[in-house]
Amino acid sequence: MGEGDDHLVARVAQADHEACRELVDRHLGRVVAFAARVLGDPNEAEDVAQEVFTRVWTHARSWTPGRARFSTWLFRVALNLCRDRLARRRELPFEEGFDPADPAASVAAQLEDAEVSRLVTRAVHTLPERQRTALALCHFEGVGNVEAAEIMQVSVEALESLLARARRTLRERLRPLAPELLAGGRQT
Amino acid sequence: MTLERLQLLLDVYGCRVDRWPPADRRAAEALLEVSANARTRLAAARRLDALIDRAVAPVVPSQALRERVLAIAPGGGARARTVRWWRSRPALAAAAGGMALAASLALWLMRAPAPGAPLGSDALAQLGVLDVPTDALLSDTTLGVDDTPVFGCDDPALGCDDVPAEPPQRSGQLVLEKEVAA
Repeated sequence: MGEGDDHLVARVAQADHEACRELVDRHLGRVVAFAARVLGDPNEAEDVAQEVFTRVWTHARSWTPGRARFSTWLFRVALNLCRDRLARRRELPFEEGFDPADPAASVAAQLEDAEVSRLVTRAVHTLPERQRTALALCHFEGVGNVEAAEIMQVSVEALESLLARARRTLRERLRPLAPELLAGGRQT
Repeated sequence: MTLERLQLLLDVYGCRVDRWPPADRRAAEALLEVSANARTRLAAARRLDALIDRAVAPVVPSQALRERVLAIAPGGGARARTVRWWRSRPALAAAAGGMALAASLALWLMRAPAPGAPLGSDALAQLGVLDVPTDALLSDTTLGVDDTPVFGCDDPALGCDDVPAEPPQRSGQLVLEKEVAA
């Protein structure tokens, strides 16, 4: 582990371009990945990431070390920008794009890997926004529950409830897609 | 640890036991040793997590995005913008076009005929003389401000002798004359 984020941000405030480069190397990929999970659109995710780092450069001077984790602040800014964009567009309801009850397309073994990936991605993307965000943070980005709750500005209990509902919903939606993968998953 | 508690932990944290709270982790391990049902639930959670992981991998940030982000970063933005300016095709085209226009203008100026001898004093005096006295149109002051211009013509030579030569009276004046006559 190299220099801490707080030190890097302090160097950014001194117009140290090398520190900017290191922050980008360290966090740009995670921000893009997270935004892509929440938005379901890689191009919009890049726009969000650019806006996030624009704010980093702008606010570096006013950053207070130790008050919050830099990554927490980064994800929170990204999440707010994603939510702004989601509010401006109408999300497709789950049933419009994917019918998990369709027996003709319900068995993963009969589908190409790419098709399974596409259907799982769609199932994840069509979760309610807060469940999807909780899953993107904790499952995909490996953020701890306490930090994820801080990013989403909810209690840890609320975050855990969101995660549990997300997994239960996915289990139900993906069961027709891959019954053999989910055998034994009915016990709830 | 009950089966219900185990299922709740699986729903919240997934099968990655290392993410569980330490106290729950130890209790779950004890339950898993003695309960086949618990092991079945853990296996199902592993399958679900594996399926979720098959969601399309998120995009890797493009090099263009990285350059854009660093171009506006403190301490290096101007340099990056300069580099990008030179690499920009539209900018190069605009620069080439500008240089071509400047060269054409210079060539045209060099090949244009030299100006002749300066104008003499007579020629300069002529420049201030107007052949057409346009202000004469404003010199006829025979009409008063209350007069009404004549409409038509009264010149028989022009074939319009049937047109009354007198100007039409204003309606207010006509009414007044009728009242006086009455």
